[in-house]
Amino acid sequence: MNIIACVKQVPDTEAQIKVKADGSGIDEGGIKWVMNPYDEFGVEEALRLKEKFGGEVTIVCLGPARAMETIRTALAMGADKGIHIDDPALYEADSYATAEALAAAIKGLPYDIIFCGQRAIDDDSGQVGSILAELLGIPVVTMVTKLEVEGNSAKATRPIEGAQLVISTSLPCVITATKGLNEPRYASLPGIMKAKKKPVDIKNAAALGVSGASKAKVVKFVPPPARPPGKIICADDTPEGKAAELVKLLREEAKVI
Amino acid sequence: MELSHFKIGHEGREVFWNAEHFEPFLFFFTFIALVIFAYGLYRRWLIWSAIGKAEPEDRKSNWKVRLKNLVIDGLLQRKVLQDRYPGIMHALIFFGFLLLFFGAAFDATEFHVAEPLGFAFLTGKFYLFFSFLMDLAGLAILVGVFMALDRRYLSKPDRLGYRGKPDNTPDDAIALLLIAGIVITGFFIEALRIAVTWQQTPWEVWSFVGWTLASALNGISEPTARALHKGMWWVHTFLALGFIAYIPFSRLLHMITTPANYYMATLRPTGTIEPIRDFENAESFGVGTIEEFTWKQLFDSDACTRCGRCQEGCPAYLTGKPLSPKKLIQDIKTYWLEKAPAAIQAKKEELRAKMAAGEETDKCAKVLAFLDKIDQAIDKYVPARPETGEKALVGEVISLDELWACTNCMYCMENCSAAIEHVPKIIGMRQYKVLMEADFAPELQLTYRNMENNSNPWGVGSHLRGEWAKDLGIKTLAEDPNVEYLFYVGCAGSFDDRGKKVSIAFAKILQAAGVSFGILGSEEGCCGDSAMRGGNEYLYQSLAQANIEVMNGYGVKKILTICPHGYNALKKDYPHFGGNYEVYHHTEFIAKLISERKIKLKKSVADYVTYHDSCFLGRYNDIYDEPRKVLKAVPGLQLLEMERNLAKSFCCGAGGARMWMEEHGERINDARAKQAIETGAQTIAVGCPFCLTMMSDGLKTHGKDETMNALDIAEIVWKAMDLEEEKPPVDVCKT
Amino acid sequence: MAKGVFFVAECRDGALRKVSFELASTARKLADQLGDEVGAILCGSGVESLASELAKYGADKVFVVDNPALEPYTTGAHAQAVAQVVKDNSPSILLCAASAQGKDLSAALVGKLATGMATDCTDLRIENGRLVAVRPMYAGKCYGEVVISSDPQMASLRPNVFPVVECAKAGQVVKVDVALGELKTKVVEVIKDTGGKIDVTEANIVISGGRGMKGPENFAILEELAALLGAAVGASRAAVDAGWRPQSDQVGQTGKVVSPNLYIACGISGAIQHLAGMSSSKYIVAINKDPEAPIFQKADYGVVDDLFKVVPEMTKEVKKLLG
Repeated sequence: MNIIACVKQVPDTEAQIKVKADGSGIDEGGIKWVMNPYDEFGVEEALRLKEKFGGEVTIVCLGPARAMETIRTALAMGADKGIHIDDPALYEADSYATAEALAAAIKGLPYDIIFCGQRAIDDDSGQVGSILAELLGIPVVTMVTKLEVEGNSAKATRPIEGAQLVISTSLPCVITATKGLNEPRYASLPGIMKAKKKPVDIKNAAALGVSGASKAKVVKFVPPPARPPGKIICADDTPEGKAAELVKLLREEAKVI
Repeated sequence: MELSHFKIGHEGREVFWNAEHFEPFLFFFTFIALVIFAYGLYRRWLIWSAIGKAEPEDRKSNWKVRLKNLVIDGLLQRKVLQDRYPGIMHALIFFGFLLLFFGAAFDATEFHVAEPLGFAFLTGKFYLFFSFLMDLAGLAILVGVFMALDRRYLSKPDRLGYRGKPDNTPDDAIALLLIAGIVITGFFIEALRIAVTWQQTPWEVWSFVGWTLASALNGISEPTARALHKGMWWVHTFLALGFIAYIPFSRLLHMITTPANYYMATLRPTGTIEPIRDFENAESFGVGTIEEFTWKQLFDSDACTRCGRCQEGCPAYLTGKPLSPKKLIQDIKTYWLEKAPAAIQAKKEELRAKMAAGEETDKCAKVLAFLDKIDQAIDKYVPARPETGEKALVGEVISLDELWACTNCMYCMENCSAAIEHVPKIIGMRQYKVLMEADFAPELQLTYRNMENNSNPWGVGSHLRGEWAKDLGIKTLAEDPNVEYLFYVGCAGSFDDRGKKVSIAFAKILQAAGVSFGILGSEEGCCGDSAMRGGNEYLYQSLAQANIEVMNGYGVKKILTICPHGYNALKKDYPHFGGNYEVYHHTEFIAKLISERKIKLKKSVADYVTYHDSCFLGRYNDIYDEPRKVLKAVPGLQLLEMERNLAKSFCCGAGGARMWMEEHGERINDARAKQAIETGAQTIAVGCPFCLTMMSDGLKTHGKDETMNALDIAEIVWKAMDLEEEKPPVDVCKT
Repeated sequence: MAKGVFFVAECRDGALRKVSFELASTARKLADQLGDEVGAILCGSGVESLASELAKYGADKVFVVDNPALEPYTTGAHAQAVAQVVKDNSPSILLCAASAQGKDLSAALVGKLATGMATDCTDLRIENGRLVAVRPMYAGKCYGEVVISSDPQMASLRPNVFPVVECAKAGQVVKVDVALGELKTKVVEVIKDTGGKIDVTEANIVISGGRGMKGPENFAILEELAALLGAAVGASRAAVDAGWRPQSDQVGQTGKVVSPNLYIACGISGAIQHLAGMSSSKYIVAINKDPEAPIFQKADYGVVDDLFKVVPEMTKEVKKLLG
């Protein structure tokens, strides 16, 4: 089975995100870069399929030179080889342009399943997997929490509000992974050492025949409104009053219930 | 019968009385016994060295210190005697035997050297003293043996077993009975001799046991006595020679291995772990098979006498976890004995393959010939064991629950009377699970990921590390590198709300004392202790190197810490990687400030306080006095000691990466908190943020959090300095 | 020239979901600014009757694609249907819901329509005749203002953020026939969440109890509230250690790490080992008697009071709210 896992390098979830003074982007100083956690679920699932059915796992990653670390991380987990799409023209690519580049890199390869994370935790767009499927002309199942592959088809479980859908799909297909699919493994040290020697192809936009021209552009980055300091709810100082006030705030201010 | 030339004023005895012609036979049998002894020992040595890897640590140089260890702990039994009853028991047997051994040597010298040369010395007053001493020694041994029999078969303390089941083997009884048999037959020979000669040798009353026994034999005819004597003489001789021959094949082997182990004992600071040096080229990491232990580590298990001192204070064992340091060492031993034939076969095949490939043929041939010898030895020597099939060292021989239950508290190693090094073995096996198989508790994986990404176990954003200090006017080294001390805060002191209070208290003490110090702020990283002790040497080294790079970059020379884990790592482990600093724990430093009168403790803050020794402060670094001194300097403070304290202190449960792992069954911290509660103290004083968490949680478990509290020494001192008004609690809804 | 503000209505089990009205109202507002028409796209089986409801919130036209193959929802079928309507009418703006289904559909549409989209927007405005979409990025640690150079300019709207405003329009129903090609995916089973136990790591709302719960029997009050909110009940290590709750419910460093939209900590003091397991929750509520408890430092809303009084009152309030 030939499996492709697309990964992205993103700032660690705990990293401090500082918007540049001119709003043109974020300040990357001091940021710890990690593999997008949702992509990690995809890589893990790819490895599990490989362990079950045999075959090869190829990592495809678009990003600047530092993204090589993330490719190596996936290789250390057990993936076999990597393709690193590295071209300044693509660094600011939107979802569509990213998917185009990935599709161009994948087109020549044999594949049965392509894994993507359901979204990247930096731009939080959640589009690339679906666009990639469209560009490759194959079906996609997004937000998958469980996957069973059998022969030429797969059954994927996807949560929607209040229910779980079990979706059957033909192969090849794109699966976008989300939390619950698996627990990604911790790379072994021999894995880390071997990863340094595994082949990684570096490709630029010209080699892939893409321009990187984006249709959606973030024209301005703004810091979030300062999160108000925690509110201690006093209301009329009775439990009833506090409870009522709290429920009201959760409903109307936080909009979480 | 020839007349003795001994008389009053020239007391003595004939050495081969009634056994004149036995001497050649005695030599012959002694020779055989010694050959068996030497042969057995040689075989054993072959196995240790054939299975285990080369020992990376220097175990030979510095012979003076090593000899001193051998004398103090091997010969003078210091460690053994630290434990009253078993100490006395062993000392009686050990010193008794030693005396009798020298006695026999005196006898032999007298007979073969001194007498023929005409300067016999075993005469007169010396002979009388000698006789008395020999009987006393014999008696001491008998008392020791009876104490041992009582301990092993009647009183049966838990430590001579595992969870109430004694781990006695026939060998234990044989060894004791052999010893008793030698002494008892010896007394009978003496008594029978005296029964015949007592009228000519009234001074034999000095051989008081033999004399008393002879009196009991009153009325025995001389021929009967002589015949009995001859028979008993041979029984005694065979028991004694049998004993010698039996040594290498029994628990008696410890007579050789334990002192040897003292000689080879590590001379490094307590708890030092040999770092893995070459990640790039090593083929395997840690200990996953028996062959990955060093020969010294296997040897260790042969020095173990199953005395159970380690088990008696092991926090894991005492709270019902499957781990017992004794069982662990014994399981390793049983396993390598089982694996010995196969391991050597494997080695031989490897060598043959090498030879076939034409590599180092000469060297391989030599080693092969050597191994053939071992092979033959094993056939003869290792008793055939039932085929148990392939067992994994880690996971089967040593269960994962055992492996991960260890808190690295160092109780076992500090209290072992055979200088066995348990903890490095455990870390070695953990390294295998973590580095090679990446198969370990998910919560520990999360911790490691957090350390990788944010350089702290909780995964709090690393940019928030210096936040605790932001209102205190403390400068970072980036702002002012010209300070005397770096205050290395550590993760708990930087991120944990409870730990931050300790950092703040200590920082305020330093400020009040006018100490020049700074912090690293967000440039500081996790010390890596939990990673290292949890087997993740790779992560540990990367964390250590990052810290060293930053600290060396600022030219840091002196460091203050509030966490014994960071203290220990920075002080003793960082030098492996080029980080050489003068490191002080805050309790040491506060003690210094008090003695130099830089700070004054004015206010009484707690009446009854018990101090919990942190393992990484106490056993690891011998800091027992300073924290107590500081506490005693607080006005009106009464220090109450827990029963388990100082070197026998009971771990809080957080060490050895256990802080980050789920604990099942009785929790170690609850057990320790109970011990603290039993002292009647109101406050548990600690010097470690992890102990602080563990003790606070323990008090909550026992429902004592309203009436008792756990405080760091820095907090107690800061309060006692009385420089800050306590803020009354605020009613949020009223203001 | 592309013209019109379109939106994709979302329905489930024969009814429009609330987010559809949010979409309609928002589309109306944008269309009014642009002087455009609002077109609703309604796909499903037997959904035509719902068109009038969309008209009530401002849809000038409702394009209905009624086809049995569109029920239940599958990405392929719906994307084909919507794409067809969009291609036929070339709207300048296309809005979708950033719901579970909407996110899936909208992303596929971006591929089909080869355009750009701003996901999960919290604000939309028109500048110089073009859409400016404001959306949280980096888990809300910064916001991006997005413009899209291609048409239709797509945006998905975070549910419950945009107001629903009634504004009755004609809602002219335009039936569209779409020839659905071969479908490669199909829903083989729908497993309803039957109020059974939800795993703490998967729940959108987690209500956890700690030592302050005082005993296992008292978790009933948390369970009652959780049932109403579709929440999972978690526990602190103290509560698990005491044997009150199973280990699988433990939230914290040595338990599960959760990041729900709402985390309600009841009787939990908030030791760092617990915070490590839940501090990435979007909203944190702390209910604790002790005003000094560190959990209040992390809480968005804190109630300093007896949880045994507050929680049952909350349950009553939520019941009222849900009718």
